[in-house]
Formats: sequence, C-alpha cells, structure tokens
Amino acid sequence: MDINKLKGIVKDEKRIVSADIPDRYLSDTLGRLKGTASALVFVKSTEEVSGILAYAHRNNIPVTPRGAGTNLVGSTVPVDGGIILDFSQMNGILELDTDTMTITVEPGILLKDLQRFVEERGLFYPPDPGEKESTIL
Amino acid sequence: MPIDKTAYFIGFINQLEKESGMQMVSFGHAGDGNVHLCVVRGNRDDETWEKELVVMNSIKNALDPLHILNDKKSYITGEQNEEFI
Repeated sequence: MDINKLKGIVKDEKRIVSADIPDRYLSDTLGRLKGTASALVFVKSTEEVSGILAYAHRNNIPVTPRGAGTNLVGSTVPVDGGIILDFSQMNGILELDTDTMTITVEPGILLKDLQRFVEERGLFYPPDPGEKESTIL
Repeated sequence: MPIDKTAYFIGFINQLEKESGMQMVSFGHAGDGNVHLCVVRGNRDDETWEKELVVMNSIKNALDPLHILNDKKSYITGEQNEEFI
C-alpha cells in the first residue's frame, strides 16, 4: 500500500487517514468484530472511487466500502485489511424524476436528508427504517 | 423499481419462475416500487443447492475476480470460505 498513490488520486490529504484509524471505522454499529486497514479514504466523486479501485485492482488490495456504519451484520468490517472507502461525504442529490417518481442520489446521503428534500417539494419517500442517520449505500 | 415498471418486472419474474423451476417470491412495498425479490432454496437437496451456490459465486467471481471488493460477505460456500459460514 502506497499512501502517496492515494494522495495522487484524492488530492486532499485531509480526506486520507493512514495512521490511528478510529475503531468505529473498523467495525459496524455493534462493534463485536473489528478489522484492520492501511488507509481510510473519504471519497467525494466517482472519479476518486474509480481511481482508487483501479489502484486496488492493480495491486490486489482489498477494499471495504461504508456509509454511516449503521449496519448490524458486520458488512463494514474490513476483514482482509486494505482500504476503507467512506462515502459519507459523497452525499449529493443528482436528479429527481417526478414522471417515474425516481430520485437519483449519491450513496452517502442520509435517509433523513433525502426525506427532507422530497418533503420540501410536496413528495414522500416511504421507506422509513428506524435509523434515520443511515445511508442509502 | 420505478413504480410504472413494477408490474412488468413481477410478471417477468413469474414467467422466469415457471421456466426455471426455481422458486421466486416477489413481495415488498408496492407504493414505492420496492420489490423484495427472494430466490429461495425451497425443497432442493444439498447437492443441488451447492451447485446453485457455485453459480452465484461465479457471478461474484466475474465482477470481482481478485476478491478484493468487501469479500467474504455474501455468496459464501465451498471450502475456501468455510470458516465464515
């Protein structure tokens, strides 16, 4: 793992963590299992994700994506180390199509923000799990 | 599914179920086009089921040949991942 390669892709060092990654990024909400990682990257664009995945593929580096980390089943535990891709800052709304009542969003948007967006337009986003701080991811 | 395509999709699944003999259950939230499609084991014996899991794993292998994309979290079968079952 070459952190400088990641810095070449994500040209904002504040969004790359390579030392002392907090435990909450190495587990899920329950925290029963804890993985390891060499880097935690807060991605902001498709281009960054694509660049990192291309780098990971060339170098056989495992990648674990995460949103708000509200899952309870270990899906965000980086069991093989490598890179954690955190999508929480990739949280935009791309398109609202009222013909088919379809909204296109980036994966890190929080459910509560999506619900507020459509409700401001007189619409309703029905899926309503208890956890409003979770992402679509 | 976009709500104007949900009925078409479920019709397609029902047809596929007949043709394949694989039990498929469509349910979910009709109001927002959220189809929880369940392709289930049904009464298949262990040998048949294991073969089908191998097919599912082949999809994972095709999309993620190096097994670097959040590996060991789905389609778990076979000796390689036995420890995670």
